Amino acid sequence: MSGQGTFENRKGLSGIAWLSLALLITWLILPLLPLALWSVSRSWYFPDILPSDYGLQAWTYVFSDTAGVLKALLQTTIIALGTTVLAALIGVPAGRALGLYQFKGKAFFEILILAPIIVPGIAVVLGIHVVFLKTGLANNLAGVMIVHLIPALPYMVLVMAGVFANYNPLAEGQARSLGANPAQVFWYVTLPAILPGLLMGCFFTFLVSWSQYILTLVIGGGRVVTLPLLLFNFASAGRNDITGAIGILYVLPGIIVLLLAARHLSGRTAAGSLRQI
Amino acid sequence: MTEVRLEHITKIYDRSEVVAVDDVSLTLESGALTAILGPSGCGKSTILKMIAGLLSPDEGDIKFEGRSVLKMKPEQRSAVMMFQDHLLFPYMTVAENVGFGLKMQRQDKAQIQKNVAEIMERVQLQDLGARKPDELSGGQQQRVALARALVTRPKVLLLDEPLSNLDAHLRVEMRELIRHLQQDMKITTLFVTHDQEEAVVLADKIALVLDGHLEQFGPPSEFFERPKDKTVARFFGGRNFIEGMAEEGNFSSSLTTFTLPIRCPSGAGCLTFRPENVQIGRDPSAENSFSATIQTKTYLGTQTRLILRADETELEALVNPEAARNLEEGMEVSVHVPKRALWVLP
Repeated sequence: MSGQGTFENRKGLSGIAWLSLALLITWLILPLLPLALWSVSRSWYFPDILPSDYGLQAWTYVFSDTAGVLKALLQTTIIALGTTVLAALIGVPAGRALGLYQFKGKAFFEILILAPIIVPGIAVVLGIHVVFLKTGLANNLAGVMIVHLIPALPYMVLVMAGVFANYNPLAEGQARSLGANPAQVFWYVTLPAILPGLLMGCFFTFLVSWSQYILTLVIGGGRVVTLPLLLFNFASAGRNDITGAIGILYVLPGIIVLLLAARHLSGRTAAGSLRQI
Repeated sequence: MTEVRLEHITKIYDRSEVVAVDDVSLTLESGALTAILGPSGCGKSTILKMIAGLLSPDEGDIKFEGRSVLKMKPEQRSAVMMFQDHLLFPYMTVAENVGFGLKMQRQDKAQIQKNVAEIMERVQLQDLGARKPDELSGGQQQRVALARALVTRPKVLLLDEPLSNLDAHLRVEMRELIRHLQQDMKITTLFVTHDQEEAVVLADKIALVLDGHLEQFGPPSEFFERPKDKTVARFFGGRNFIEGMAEEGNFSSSLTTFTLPIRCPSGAGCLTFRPENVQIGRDPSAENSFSATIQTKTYLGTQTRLILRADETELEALVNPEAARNLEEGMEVSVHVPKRALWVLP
């Protein structure tokens, strides 16, 4: 497309921008309002539009030692971080293989990597549970992290495959011949080039792990309690005010990640610019 | 000062099973600039990457100063490559790019700064250290890449078509800069190119590689005066081939019997001579002369090209435009080739 064409489209694009902003607010911000209201309400009954009485008892409870919410928050964070690190360790080499190289059975591997997104976790987790019970991975953090890789890894691998598809590996050869050893090549050449994509992959992985319910419930066996588990407990117990407060805590990382990601998505990636030159 | 010796190097690419480099033996003299000349996809870059250690040969050995380097990792060889794409690291400044090799050697900061400043001045980029690579012109980027390659004072400099992305006048400028720095620093250099003129102007010796084979290796003049066979002669613009038989210093053909210079081999073969050595309009009875008809006449500016037909043989002559003034298409002329310009191919 010619440069002129893009200029002429400017006005139309800004209209689309407004529309997407409106949709973004409707879908992301508005649903949070009832949550926030619930968390500070003392009584809110049908058919009232707003709570009839307000109070901070839900928040006081959430931050109290007896509730276990803070411990769950900590565990959820540890599990999500651990899953992200594991996913990066596996996903970077796998994405490189899929993005850069041609090999036998590549199409098959691509489908295999997508499979966890298509097949629901509940279908496999019971079988995995048996294996984990035998190997001592059930009912602890490590097991939960590993099982979280099932839904999280596809995102990391797909993002990294995209990054490496736009990556020029000759830059590594150039660095080697300039005297860099493989570790230095990774640190000074590969990592800076893939970092924006890697961060995106980490964000996705973190959020996918953060929002797991069934896998944590089965493999954690009630010993590993994360925020989604608490959330379901309080929601099914009808404690809407506490559910609201935990819900707010629960969506917080998502919002932070969205803001961070928006900054990276708008910019050109370093991997892309290495390719363009 | 490092002599690089390639001994029977062969490289086969697994997937295609194409023999990229086929039994190439080559000695790069210490401090000399050797050009590998050949069309694209003939295995030139593969040779370079094997010397750098980025690929390993399937057979053969590579020696620096008589010692095999095959077991050495690329970063230990001190053989620096420079590619057609300058491959500057986009997130580093120009100065950081140039200092990259020194930083990898863990030199201290002050030392790096001093060396970088010195080499930047030699490539006339002293004011651009703080810029990012994408803020430079194509020619400047290539000079940064050259500075980055030279700053570590490598034993061997490997240049992979470093000029082919530049436009014509920058190419000449960069060519001279490379030659100047290479001679000044006395770095053994291998220069890969598909441009015959570039190879002739730059190199002390040329290795002509076609389809992974080393066709001929020698100083540039040899490729014009004593090509090994028709393929080599054609690659260097040879157009004149006369079939016949060489015996006892004479070459008998259907046109005439030529008197050969002493060094020519005997046997059935093909007489060749450069278009620029053909002389027109002398006495047809003189030695090494025959008559021919002018088919076409093309004015090239500094020269005039004549396509001649003698019997069934088509020949090309490049003559001084002044001498060609009175010649016209269809004219019957006498063609003379001086004895020293003749060469016999198998």
